[in-house]
Amino acid sequence: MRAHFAFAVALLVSSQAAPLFAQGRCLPSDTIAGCFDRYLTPDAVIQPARAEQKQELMTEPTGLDTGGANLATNKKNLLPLLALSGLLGQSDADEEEGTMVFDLNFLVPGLAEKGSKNAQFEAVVNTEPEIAESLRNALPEEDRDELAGQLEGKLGGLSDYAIRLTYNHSNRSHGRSFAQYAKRFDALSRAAVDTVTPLAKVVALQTSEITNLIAQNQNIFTGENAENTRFDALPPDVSRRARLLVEEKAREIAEREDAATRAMNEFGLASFHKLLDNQPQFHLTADKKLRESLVGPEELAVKVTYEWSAVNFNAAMSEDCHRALDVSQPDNNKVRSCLSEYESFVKGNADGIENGNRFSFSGEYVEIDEDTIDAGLDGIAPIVLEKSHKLVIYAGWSRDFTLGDGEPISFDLVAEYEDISDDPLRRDRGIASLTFTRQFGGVSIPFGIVYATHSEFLTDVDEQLSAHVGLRFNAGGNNDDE
Amino acid sequence: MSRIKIWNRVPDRSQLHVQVEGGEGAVDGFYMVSDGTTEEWSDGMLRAGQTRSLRTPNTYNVGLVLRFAGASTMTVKAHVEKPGGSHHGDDYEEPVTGAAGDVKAVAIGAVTLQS
Repeated sequence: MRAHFAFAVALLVSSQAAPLFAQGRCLPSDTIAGCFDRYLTPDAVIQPARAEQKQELMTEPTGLDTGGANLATNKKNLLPLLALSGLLGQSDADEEEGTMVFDLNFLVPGLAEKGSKNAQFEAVVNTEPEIAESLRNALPEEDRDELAGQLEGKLGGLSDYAIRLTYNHSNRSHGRSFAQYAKRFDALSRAAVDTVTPLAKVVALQTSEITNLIAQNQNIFTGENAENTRFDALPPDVSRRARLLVEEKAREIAEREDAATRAMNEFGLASFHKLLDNQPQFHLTADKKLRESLVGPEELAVKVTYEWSAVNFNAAMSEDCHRALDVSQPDNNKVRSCLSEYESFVKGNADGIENGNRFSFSGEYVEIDEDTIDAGLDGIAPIVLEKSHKLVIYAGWSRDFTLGDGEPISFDLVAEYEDISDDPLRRDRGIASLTFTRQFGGVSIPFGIVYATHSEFLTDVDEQLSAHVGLRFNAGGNNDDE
Repeated sequence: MSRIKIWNRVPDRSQLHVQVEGGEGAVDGFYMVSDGTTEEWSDGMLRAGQTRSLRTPNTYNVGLVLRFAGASTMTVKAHVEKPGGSHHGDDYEEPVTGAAGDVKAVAIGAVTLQS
């Protein structure tokens, strides 16, 4: 029934469009390629697609941590973090100024294998180490910069570096990289297109009529790149025949292409990437900072993050379908059945896909070693730091709301608790952050309130309430900007 | 460039190479020769690249269908390599951009020397 209905819609639209096409768009001065371009416009979608992609990137949180007395969002995608940590094969991009990053995956069996992109073991060396802030503050104010410079001049090349392990748990149901779901998209989208037209075969057939004409008139079509042949460069009888034929084939392909795109949308495959954005993802980072005493105490930090939304691709089909479609050549009947499941889910969860609830949980443990920082300078007493540790738990919820016809407002609630031990300067505290982010064209403006049971450092402030307004926009631009 | 490419006067025993790279989406293809030979090319086959020998006096036709899961660009690359190793005509490299849910077709043909 579906195939018949969709095909009928395609025919209806085609028949309505026919009078426009029948007028003919191709000119005698056109080339074969130029005539094709009048129907299959190569540039018509590029700008909108780029704009959409840019918009998605701008609205995508940048992966800033949910912590501190600042506005926070838990609707972050870990992909930017993975890209930074090299898990997506972009390890060259994370070299900050003053640091050098060394890939150590070769040291760990399994991580060194080609295609193993869900874990990264690396060393990060600070090439411009500085003395500890506590030591700098202890230096006499009038000579502080000079003395600090002398002390930093004594620091060796490996006085401040870190060993870092980043792991992203990605399998058939976890992670947000398209590559993990490519086979399932291939099966579903091909089945959707096939309900209206065997498009690849149609394109080959239409092309064959053009190549046949060229073959029959090869004494006239003399160039090696036949698509550059102008119709008006051919003898009149062949010229008209060629132009009408190419135009007819281009029109036919364009109509089928449109019908196929409508089928993709009808089956909900335009929402596929949004469902992937809601997939559960788990991320772990372990960071061991190794330092000379003058730079500060050594630290071990471990952070785990889990993010999830109920309206995700996992939920769009049964586990049986996920398994059956995640192969190179799935059974056609099974694919059609799974496509029906997928379509029902997307149609039944349209609001949830656009504005659904998202949750994030993360925990961070930081252990700071005891240390005695002795500058070896007269009048500067050694600074003794006790061993301390910190445990921070975050939980977040976010949702988008649409008011009228305006752009959606993003709502983020993040709660955080910091459990500090053995640090005389800090104390335990809870923080709650409520943030509303409104899009205005290319700029997003977050407004929020942050409540903390105490200030971060020991003071006589018991409770703290602050309001923040921010501005976020894409300042980077890219080469595609025109 | 355009979404159609046709090589003409292709020497016998040349090789047609077709490959699709990048993008968030999937591709499939249909390969058709005037002698009646047909093949269906899957996403995996096209990502890996396909090579077929071209024999006179046949014509060769490939229909490619690019299906986009997200706003991205897939690049279609093709060329004809003559028996001596040099390339016949211009190489084809077309970046095809689409938004989520878009379907884009690309037509490739090769006409061998007819006599």
